[in-house]
Amino acid sequence: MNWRLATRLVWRDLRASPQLLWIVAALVLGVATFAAVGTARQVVLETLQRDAAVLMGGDARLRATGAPITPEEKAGVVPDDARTSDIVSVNTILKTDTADVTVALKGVDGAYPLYGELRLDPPMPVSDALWDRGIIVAPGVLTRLGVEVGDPVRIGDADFTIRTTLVAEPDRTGGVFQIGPRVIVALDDLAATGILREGSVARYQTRIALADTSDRDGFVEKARRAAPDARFEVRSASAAQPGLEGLIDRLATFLTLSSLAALATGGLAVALAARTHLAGKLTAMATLRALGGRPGWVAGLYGLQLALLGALGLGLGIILGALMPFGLALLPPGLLPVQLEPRIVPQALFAAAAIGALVLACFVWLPLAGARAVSPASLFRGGTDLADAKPPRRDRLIALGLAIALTALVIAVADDGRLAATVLLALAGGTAVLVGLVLALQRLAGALAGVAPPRLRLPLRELARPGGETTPTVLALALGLGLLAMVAQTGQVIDRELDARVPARAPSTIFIDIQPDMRERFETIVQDAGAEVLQLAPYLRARLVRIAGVPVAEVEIGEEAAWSVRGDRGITWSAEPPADERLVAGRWWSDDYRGPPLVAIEDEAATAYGVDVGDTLTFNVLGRLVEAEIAAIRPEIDWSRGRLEFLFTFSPGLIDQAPHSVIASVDVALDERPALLATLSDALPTVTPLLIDETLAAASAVLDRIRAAVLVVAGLSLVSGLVVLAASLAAVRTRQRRAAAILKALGAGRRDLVRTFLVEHAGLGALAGLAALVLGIAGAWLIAAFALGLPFVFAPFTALGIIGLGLALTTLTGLLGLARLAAQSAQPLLRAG
Amino acid sequence: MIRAEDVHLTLRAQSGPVNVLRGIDLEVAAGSSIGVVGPSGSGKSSLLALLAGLERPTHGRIFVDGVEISALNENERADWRRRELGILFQSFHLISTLTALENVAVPLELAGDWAADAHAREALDAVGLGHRLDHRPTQLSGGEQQRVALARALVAKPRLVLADEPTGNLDGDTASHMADLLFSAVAEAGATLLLITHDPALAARCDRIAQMANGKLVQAPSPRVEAA
Repeated sequence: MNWRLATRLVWRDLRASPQLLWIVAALVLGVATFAAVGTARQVVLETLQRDAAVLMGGDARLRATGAPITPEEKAGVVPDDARTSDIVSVNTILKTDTADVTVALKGVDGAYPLYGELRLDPPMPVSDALWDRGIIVAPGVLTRLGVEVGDPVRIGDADFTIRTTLVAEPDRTGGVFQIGPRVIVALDDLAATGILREGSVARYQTRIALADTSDRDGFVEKARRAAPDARFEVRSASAAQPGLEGLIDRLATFLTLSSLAALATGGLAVALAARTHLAGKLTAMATLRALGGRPGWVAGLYGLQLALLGALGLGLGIILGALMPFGLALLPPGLLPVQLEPRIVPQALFAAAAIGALVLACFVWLPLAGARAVSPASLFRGGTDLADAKPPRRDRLIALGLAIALTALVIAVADDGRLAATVLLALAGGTAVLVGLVLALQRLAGALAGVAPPRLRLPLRELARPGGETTPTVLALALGLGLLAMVAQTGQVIDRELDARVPARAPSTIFIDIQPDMRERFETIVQDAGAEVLQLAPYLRARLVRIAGVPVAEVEIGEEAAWSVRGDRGITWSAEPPADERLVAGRWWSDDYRGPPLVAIEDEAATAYGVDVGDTLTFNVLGRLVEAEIAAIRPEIDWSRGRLEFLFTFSPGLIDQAPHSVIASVDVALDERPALLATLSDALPTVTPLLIDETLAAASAVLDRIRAAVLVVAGLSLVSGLVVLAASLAAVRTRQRRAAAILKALGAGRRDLVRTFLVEHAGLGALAGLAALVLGIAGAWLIAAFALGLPFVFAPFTALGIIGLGLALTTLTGLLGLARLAAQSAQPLLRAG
Repeated sequence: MIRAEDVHLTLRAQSGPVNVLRGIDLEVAAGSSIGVVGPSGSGKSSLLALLAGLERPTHGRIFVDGVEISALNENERADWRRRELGILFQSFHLISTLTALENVAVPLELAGDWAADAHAREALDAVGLGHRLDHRPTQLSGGEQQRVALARALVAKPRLVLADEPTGNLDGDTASHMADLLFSAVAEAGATLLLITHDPALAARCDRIAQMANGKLVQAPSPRVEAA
């Protein structure tokens, strides 16, 4: 084996084969997209995870009611290298000499907040605000009590001074249903108030910032193993947003899908470019063999050439992929919905390099083996075609092995291996269907060639030529366009879902402590202020004490609903089921039902409790035990919608006799809200507003990030898809150049050539477009239905737009190429033989 | 030098097997020249491909210099070609991405000759192309391309030269000049020459003439014709 000569020949050949740049370009973009998507996926998911940690106030938390979590209890659970912060939450009354208000009090230690920032007005460090019995209050408190910053207030037995007001609180763990406006004091000052008596409903949290934030779930598992009988609940931030969890999963699914699409289109481009290149080298390969080059050496020569180009493409692709997130970060703010924090994610780059290398090997092996199988005796028979060369069985087995290795690797690095396997399988199936479709359409072109006007016969025959470039070109074009249409269409499905997640009319304000007899007055005031009452529900607090007759402490309850049996929960009752909701099981009671209490329970809780319709739940309602039979099971509540939601809804009757208040959500424009608050404060002083914009804003920010990721990834896929188009056309043009020379020699004029090739381009485009449309829509439907579990949204303009754009580009580049073809001299090509 | 014994070649085609050669027996002495003539499709080029070891006969044996090339595997035949054979094609088959000099140097480079370029330059000088070393095939005329191909066929000093219509693509004067070059170079090297041609004048310059028809060597009136 003469490798010195091989490298010289490789270099000489590269020098004269500019079309090889397509291989580099295809690999660069394919690998870069895969790397960038991998990086983006990691960064987006980490951002979401970080947001989750900020919202919960730590990577994980221990929570107990009634008494503080002692250092002994924490020992063995909290790692030594973790930072911790202790918080106490309790509902209490904040007083002045003349007024009082129910508040959600939080006592915090010096480490608070572990994540995020507490925004105060006037701004100051948290420690300064809480120093020497300072207190931070929500702005609503000032209005309610008629006090100002600097005024004294009282909690229990202790006096405090209002130092500043709360603008934004990073950890809104109270969520929508905290009982009153937030006030914050130093943990050490709480003891003096005397409100934390034994058995009080205070919640104690130890929040934990882990040294290794990536292993939150691992920490939770370890903690539960270390303290199986602990009094406290352990929870990770990852599980803190049940409503968003599904969306994040779907985002990961979409990203997996998009990067697979980018990978497949990149692979196709490589295969096409390699095929075109090798097809042009068959004579050279046969000649080298006639001159005494061994077949393995000659194939190795071109293999080496492709490997060198591949290495170049991979290297550049990795560099570009690593830089792409930084490039996106440079875009002017506002162009993307959110700024993602760019960084290098080595595992994404390694995965892209490994997969890119396998894609190259996988897609190049068969054309190379085919070229190796071409007999040098073909030199005596007017040359040969790559399509005539059948790769030996051994090489087909090797290619199969490479494909299996690639599949395994893709499945291994994908977030959702099952989805990746499904997509790959669907891709293989789709390709098989496409091959059938293209062959059928080719036959049609062949049949038309016999009856078409003479000038159109040649291009039609070119399209119909068996083993010609038509099949691979149309296939690549159709797969490329089809994948793009599929990604865009799937993006729309997710986008539609995101739209549905953000409530059309977010309740901007929730009011609690509306006494039943104030209800009408409240509604009138709201309407007069130009606002609208969205929901109005009776409300009281109760505690679940028995499940199917068994005390709660003795029931093994799934972790996802363990929180629901700790302490009091808000309950409501209603004669009618919630609007737009289909019950999972059971039936809602009739309007006039007044029998023994019935209850509707949320599906997730029912599963966690192990109960079904017909079982009983017993509640402690203001000291009295009320047993209710489960009549209906409601679908899982999506808390991120910002609606008033209750885990337990009772039938009216017995329970509505208990003293209760009413809770309302009100849609009021931000600029009109202060006036409404002032009016209500005067007319109904006991009614307390809860401002939940912040909570919803946080949820919206997360949704925006998901949307940004979808946008970026779809864009990247589009770019890599365009390279496939270019590569496909390069394949066609090489043959057209030769055909143009012959046609010119036979007397074809410029117009004849342009017409001939235009028909061929249009034919290729039409074949590919039709196939792409079928593939794109069918693929998106399959993914929506089976992988995402979302309703399919047919967005005809997206699919048609993508395909139309692809075809417009095809035709445009085709026309540009044609102009050159028509102008070139036929002599050199004919002379080269 | 060359001995072919009952050589058959059957090619597979979509419409069924095609019997290209049907029992060829042939002997050619070392240092002699033989012209193979016959109508298109008579199997001349296929015979050449077999003698060059580019293909293996379906049946029969071929010996060159006592080596049964029909029994060698693909790699061994490639090695044998590199050492012993020079080929000249009707369509020249120069590698389009290489210059004239590089094309001629390839066989020497394949043989690991470090002075390949210098020898290639001499070979091109010998065919009168010393001034066209850096030109690519598309920048050369047909006659020039065939002269490059001749230089390539002879540069490694082969003992057997096979030529397939070496002047078939050239005009009268150029063809005649090319034939002079070929015969003088082969004679100078003392090599054996087998050439295929339609041109009776070219065939007549060989020591002997063999005529083919329908995949067989047939008896012909020329005293130079040799048949089985």
